[in-house]
Amino acid sequence: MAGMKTASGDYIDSSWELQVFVGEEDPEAESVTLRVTGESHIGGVLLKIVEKINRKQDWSDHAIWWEQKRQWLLQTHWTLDKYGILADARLFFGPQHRPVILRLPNRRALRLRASFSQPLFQAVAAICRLLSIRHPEELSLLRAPEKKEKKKKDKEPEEEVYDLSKVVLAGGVAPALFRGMPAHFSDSAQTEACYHMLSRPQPPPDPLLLQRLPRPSSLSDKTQLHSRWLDSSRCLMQQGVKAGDVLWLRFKYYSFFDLDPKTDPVRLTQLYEQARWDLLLEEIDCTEEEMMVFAALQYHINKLSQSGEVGEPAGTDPGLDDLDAALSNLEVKLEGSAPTDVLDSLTTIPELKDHLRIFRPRKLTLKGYRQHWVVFKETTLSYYKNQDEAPGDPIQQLNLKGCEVVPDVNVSGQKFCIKLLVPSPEGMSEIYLRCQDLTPRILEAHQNVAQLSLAEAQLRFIQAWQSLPDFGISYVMVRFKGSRKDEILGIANNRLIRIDLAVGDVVKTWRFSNMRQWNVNWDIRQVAIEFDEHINVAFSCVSASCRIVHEYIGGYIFLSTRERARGEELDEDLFLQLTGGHEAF
Amino acid sequence: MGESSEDIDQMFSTLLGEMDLLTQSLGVDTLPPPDPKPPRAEFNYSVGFKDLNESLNALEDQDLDALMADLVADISEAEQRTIQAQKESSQNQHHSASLQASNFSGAAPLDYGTNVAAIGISQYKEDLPPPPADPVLDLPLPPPPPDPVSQEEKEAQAKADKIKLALEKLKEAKVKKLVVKVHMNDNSTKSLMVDERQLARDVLDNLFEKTHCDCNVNWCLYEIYPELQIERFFEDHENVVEVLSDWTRDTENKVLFLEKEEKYAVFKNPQNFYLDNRGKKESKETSEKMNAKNKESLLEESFCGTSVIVPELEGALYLKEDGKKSWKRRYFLLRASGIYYVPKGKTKTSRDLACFIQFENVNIYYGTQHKMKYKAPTDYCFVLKHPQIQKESQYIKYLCCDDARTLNQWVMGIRIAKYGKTLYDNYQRAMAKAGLASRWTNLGTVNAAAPAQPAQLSTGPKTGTPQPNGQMPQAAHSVSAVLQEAQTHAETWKDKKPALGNHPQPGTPRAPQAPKSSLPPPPPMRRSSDTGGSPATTPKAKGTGGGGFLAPPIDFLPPPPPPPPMDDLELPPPPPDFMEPPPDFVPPPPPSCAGPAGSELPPPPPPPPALAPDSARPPPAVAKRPPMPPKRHENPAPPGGAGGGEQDFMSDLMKALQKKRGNVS
Repeated sequence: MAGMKTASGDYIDSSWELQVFVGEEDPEAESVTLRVTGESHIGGVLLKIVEKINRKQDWSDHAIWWEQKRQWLLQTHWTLDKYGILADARLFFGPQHRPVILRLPNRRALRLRASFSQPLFQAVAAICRLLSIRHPEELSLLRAPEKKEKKKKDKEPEEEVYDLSKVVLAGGVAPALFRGMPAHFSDSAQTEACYHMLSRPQPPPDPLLLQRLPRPSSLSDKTQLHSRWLDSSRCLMQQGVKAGDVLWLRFKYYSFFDLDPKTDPVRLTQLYEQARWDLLLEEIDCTEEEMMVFAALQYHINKLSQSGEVGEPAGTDPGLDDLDAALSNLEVKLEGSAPTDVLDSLTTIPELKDHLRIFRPRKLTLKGYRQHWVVFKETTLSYYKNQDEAPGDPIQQLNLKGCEVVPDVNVSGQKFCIKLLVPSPEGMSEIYLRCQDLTPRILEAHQNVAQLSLAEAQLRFIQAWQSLPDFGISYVMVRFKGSRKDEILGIANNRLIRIDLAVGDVVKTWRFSNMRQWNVNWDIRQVAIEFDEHINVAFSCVSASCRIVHEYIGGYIFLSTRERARGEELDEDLFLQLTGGHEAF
Repeated sequence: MGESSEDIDQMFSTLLGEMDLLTQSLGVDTLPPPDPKPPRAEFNYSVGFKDLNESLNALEDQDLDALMADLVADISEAEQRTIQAQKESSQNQHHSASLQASNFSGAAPLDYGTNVAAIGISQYKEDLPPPPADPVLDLPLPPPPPDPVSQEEKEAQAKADKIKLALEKLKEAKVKKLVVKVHMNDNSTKSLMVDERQLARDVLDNLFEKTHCDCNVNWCLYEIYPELQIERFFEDHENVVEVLSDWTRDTENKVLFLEKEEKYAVFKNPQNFYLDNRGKKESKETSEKMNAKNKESLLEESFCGTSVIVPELEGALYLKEDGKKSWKRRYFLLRASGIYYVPKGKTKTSRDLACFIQFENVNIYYGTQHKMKYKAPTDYCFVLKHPQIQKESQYIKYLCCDDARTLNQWVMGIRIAKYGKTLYDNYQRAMAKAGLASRWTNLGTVNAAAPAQPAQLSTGPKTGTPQPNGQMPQAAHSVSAVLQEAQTHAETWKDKKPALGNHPQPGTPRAPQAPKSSLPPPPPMRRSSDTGGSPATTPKAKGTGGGGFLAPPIDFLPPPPPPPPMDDLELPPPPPDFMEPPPDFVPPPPPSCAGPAGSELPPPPPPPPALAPDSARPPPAVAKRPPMPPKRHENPAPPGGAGGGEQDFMSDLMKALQKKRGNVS
């Protein structure tokens, strides 16, 4: 052992003194001094430290961080010599897992302990396992934006921070379900509440708050976010993250594998939330018609999640008044959906009756809306002169199957109209129904969503989001080799897109499937890509480091190698090979 | 309408002939049930067809009563005989097989009957509840277990009960049926009985059986509106009766059976739709180079994700102005949610786009010769309209493209936006069909008998899960599942992975480029979603399907395709899977030995393919045709108008009856 002395007290071996601070990089921290030689193994050093501290505590998560080299000494069988540690090394003996505050896709804050020593890829996988999100390879962490933190802190009331920092997961196995949630959430009321926060959609944000949030006004604004991604191949410690820091957890790669409403409540919900915020904050554009669909789905989802009706199919909501029932029934009928038909025949068919004003536009007619007694049952709309004549023959009967229903609502003008376009061999006949106070609930009916369960509605929302032409494109500002101006590089799951910065037009698209190789020249910060047919592209990165671009490309290629047969097992080495770079090693 | 007084007699005799067949052959007993229905169906249907109703009412004639009485009598007789027949069946297998074969080529209703039978089998095994018709069909099952006697009796009893039950259910179910006159590409016509649960795919299968065509994926049912000069193919998942119900009584619309390259063009050359870089027409040469593997991955990417990717498509098209013959050029964009245009003075950003049309309630048609008819700038026109609209109307939207390529891109793009994944499922099913068909003919007769039953099986699920809204029946899954299994998925991938891993570091070559690329069955679908087997591995039907396979078809054959040597030993393993596919295209399945994967199979008929299936087939066809006077085809159909494809069989009868009476008096 090191530290052999002569009788006079001189050391006769080659040992020397090594100072180790105890704690998390705090220069004031207590320290211990050990006598070691270059031959000492890290494992032995750890043991000595613990002996010196002489305090009863679980030290199993502790390891040594070498400050100058920004490196953890995790190989316990390595010697100090092998690591190259001399007496001047500043070493910290501290926990590998430290608390951070995660800002989730649903914008809620959650405190948990994250690994500060493993590559981020693994740390994220562990976080996702804790949160019960499958396919962690699709997510990553971003630094929180720095701006305005101070101001806000003064103003805003304390927001609730959920806490999972005490929860420990048994390694390896997927957590078992208990009372409908992964077992580790069912420990206490707090953790249970946390699970509900994770697995259920959040209520709509305060419109005023929403208005104040910044929106990207240009493509270059949209590049900002992507400069903040952390590096997957290095640990949090190496990237300067401190205990207690705020990090954002987001879906980074827009390639959602095997999305299953039944097994993925948290993943689905968080993805839905990310999509929703994407739309609310106009990170992605859509048309008015598409907005209607999103609005209808969001309305429906909120309704379901607030009524606590999670998991069960919709449509049995006792809160549905007869209008809703009738409308949703109409939806079913128009859709012609099979399973519910059976049910319908067993239960009574809801009927909707009211005084409505009807207008049938005809040529050479000056007649306006006329009041009628209208009965709507199954898919048939019948109207009568007045209520008394109702059992008799109606003035007219319209079969609404296959007809188009267009709500024409102006709340401020107190105008609630429904325009029906009823098809016939000759064309469409238009009919306007004017209601006294039919609220814009028509919106919901309009989009055939009333029957969807919560999970289905969320999935539908996500699908609609995915169908937007600009979906899943991450923007980076770059300068192409030989070009004099900055341009935008869009990175999607299957292609790279060169986009004109000013106009937003697509200049050129390259697909990953035609890519032969890509290289990063870390010195000049340039990415060079070779495609089939000797097409070469090179650019330097302006808005984000080229490591981020490199990781996006490698990450998408990694994701494309996934396959169902392998289940959820991840080939981490492959991921790191594809996304890591010289820089990392 | 040239019905002569003979027509009625012919129809009668055909009908009765069919009844006879029914009673004779085992698998057929089911037929009776369907028959009684037509009348009811008619009433049901009468909503849309008032004339028909009238004619029905007018027909209180004795003739009709007599006819019905006969039918009913025959049915009940058939019921009773069934049970006995069952017992004999195992012996008579071959006999009944041939009978059935002839049925197939003959009357449409019979086909229906056999289909139903098929259902029974699957149901019996899987316990499918819904389709009422099925239980009856257990019949085919019996053949296999010829051994245990006492048990057999029990079974027979159980079956008899089931049959009764089924008959009752059948009566309850008011299945609407139409006789559809289908125009073939040789100018002949065929009349088919189509029941309201049948999808275009079922009808195609039916036509395949009748026409001996090569079953390739280009075959389609095609509707033509002579008046509007528009036309389109039925999508395979569409409910045929539903579509035809939108036609007016006096319509000149027609249904055709023909090949159309365009039907599944996107799956053969996805690059032409997905990689056609906007603006630059660099393309044809580069795009057509794409190899099968890249096509496969492009398709998977586009159709197998959480949501289908609609091709990016935008450009200037001509729009016909409402009610005028003038055309305006506008810049249109296709999105999953509809077609949009850029309003004057606005940009292409999403928020500024104005919605031109959404697809939920419209179908897309090709316009023919609209240059002439509407003074369109070119003849590359497409039309969007509500399926119910049958006459000129301001609600029909006419668009005109500069060239054929653009037209095809728009039409396909709109179909993808409208139908999504269903389109791909349809294609895979069509491929499976085509592949099996060609395999069948290639292999000749190896075991003519064995596949027979499977053939029925396959049709079972299809009709077994009728879905009113025209959704794809589940059967597709099973077929593709077979194919999927066939491919050695996992292995391929394992091979691949290392390849990737070997080139670590920044300059990693793209995975797909890995050397393994020449692996024969490229995992068609990485995600191998439950729905998707990939068609890629099925042998292509002659000359169809995206070419690009390097090896001869045989190599790609999924395992099942038994090489000639295959005999009993081989059969057992693939049974469940194997059984399904062949059925689809197998024409007249000798129902017999099929059963339990050849457990009983005598050594398959002489491997030297004597073309058993073929030989078996033609005869029936020929034999059967005679009884089916060609006239019959023509007569029934035209009831409404020249082309009126939709008519109920029974109503045809009535028409004929009426005619006859008229003549007599």
